[in-house]
Amino acid sequence: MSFEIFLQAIVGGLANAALYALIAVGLTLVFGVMRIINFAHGEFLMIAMYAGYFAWSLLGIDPIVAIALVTPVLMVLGALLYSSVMRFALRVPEINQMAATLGLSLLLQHLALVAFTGDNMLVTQARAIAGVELGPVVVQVNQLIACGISIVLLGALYVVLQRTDFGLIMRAVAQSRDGAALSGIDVTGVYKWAVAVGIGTLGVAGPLLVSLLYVNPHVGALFTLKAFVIVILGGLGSFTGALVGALVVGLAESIAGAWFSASIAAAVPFVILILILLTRPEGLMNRSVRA
Amino acid sequence: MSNFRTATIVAGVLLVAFAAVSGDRYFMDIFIFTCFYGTLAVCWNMMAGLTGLMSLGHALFVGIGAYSVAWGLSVHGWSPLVTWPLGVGLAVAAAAAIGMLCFRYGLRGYFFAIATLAFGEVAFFTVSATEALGRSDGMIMPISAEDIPGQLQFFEKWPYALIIMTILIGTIAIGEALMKSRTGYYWRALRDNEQAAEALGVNARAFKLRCFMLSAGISALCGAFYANYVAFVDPRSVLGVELSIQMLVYSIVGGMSLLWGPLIGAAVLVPFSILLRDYSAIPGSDIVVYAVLLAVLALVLPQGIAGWFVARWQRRRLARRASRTAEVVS
Repeated sequence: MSFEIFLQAIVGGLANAALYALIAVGLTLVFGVMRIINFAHGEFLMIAMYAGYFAWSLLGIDPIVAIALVTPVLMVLGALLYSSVMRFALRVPEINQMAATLGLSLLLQHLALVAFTGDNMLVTQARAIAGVELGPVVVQVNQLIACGISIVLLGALYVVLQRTDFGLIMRAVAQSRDGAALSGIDVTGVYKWAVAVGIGTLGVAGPLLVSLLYVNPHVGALFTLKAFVIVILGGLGSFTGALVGALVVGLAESIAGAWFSASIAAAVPFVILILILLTRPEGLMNRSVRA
Repeated sequence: MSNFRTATIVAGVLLVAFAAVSGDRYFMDIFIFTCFYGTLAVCWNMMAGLTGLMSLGHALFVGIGAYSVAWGLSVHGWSPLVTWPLGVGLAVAAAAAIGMLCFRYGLRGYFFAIATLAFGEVAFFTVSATEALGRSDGMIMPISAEDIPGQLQFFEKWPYALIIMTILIGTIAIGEALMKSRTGYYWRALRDNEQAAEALGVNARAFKLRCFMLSAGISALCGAFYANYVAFVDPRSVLGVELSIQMLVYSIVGGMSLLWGPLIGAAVLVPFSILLRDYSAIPGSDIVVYAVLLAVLALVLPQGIAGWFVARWQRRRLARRASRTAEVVS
């Protein structure tokens, strides 16, 4: 493998990593606050991708503009997810939580199959084939845009979580639900907002992703698994962990893709996950939460 | 016989069902698949419901069994007498290796589930890329025009039904015997409170490993049966996450606290989804129905259908006894 291809793989991996981080942060936020893993996370991304696609194909809206429309829709869907499934899931054992969100994921996949058929759809604009040369490597314009917007949004989320009262309240609930409730925090309200924001981030990722990657009803499952790998890598519930995890997965995937066949490259994130689970199950960034 | 009451009842019900469907190939097929998924769900639940280990990678073991048979037959012409033990042996060894790693590092709950999911996915992608195993296209096993009992090739479906029934009844009998043994009590103790059980001297790692290996072995047996029955294996049908999730679906719907609960789940859902798939005008409606059932039952009826009936029955019996006592007293 020549050095240019290696560099190209690294740049491609970094660009993917930013989007991956955006997707994984939503999952880790919901888990951090509610202690529920949402197996239907990827399906909401799939919905956002379809929304971005149809905004473009039916209304002629550029995916970048569509973000402003899709994000509020996804936030509402997140709030609905809380009041229809998550609220009840708090009361049942872990395995039932898993089953409930798995059921939701299957349901959304097949509803999408009925509504949108199984065809692959992609936003194809003039700039989709344009590239920017950065020294020896070429980056797609769309990839650059997606990467840039993701980084801006991740930065904004970080500031909200670390510097505002809203973020403080959310972190308080994540640390101790009872303690937060005793201090007069409306815990159920926080839950609803956490899910709304967690799913809402997908409203940004979806339209960006659909100009890079085909959408079909089963695309979500792939991203759910990837998001799992990322958040466990970084430590479940940790924001910076998700960033680190996304970086590792994005780079590993694209470097492996340059070296091996596509199937082997697809297995690479899982191999990393197994190694991490066996050596540091609490994740790279968390300090021992071994239950 | 009282030691195997459940196994006897299950055997009786199966024989009646077998007789009822014996005239019709289509219903026989449904019966066979119900037993197949039922066995898988029961052995999955021995881990999840009775020992507290949720695995989302059980398809890996089914796949090992199925691919051992398919590869052994189409490449070497080996008989099932060789390939079945080979598949089960490999699966038990794989479970031992994965289990030792996971339990050594104390993975539990979600973490164990996702670790097993990852192992399953690695196997899925690896097989999809392996030339000798037919890549993602799968392997078609050679079939001849005449029956070859030695290769488990029959034109009629009833011999297959008898085989899978035997496996199912055997699984229930083993499970029942174990539940009444020290091992079974240890398993339930580990499920309810691992730290307390360990403090009382239960070797958690060894007993969890034993459960994992047993469950994997039975899964591989089912996988081997599947390969011989369908005569075609591909990564999606025997190694995919979907298969692992199916085991969870039947267990949740049926009831995880009982050995035979998952069997009820499979008996309700498998025929239902096959019929819906074949006769409904809307494609995919079977999955929509069972996805809704899964989500709703998981939240509303956490103990499952069988669990709910058993709880109700026990409550009634207690109430009757209480009223009888009240009569005697007055």
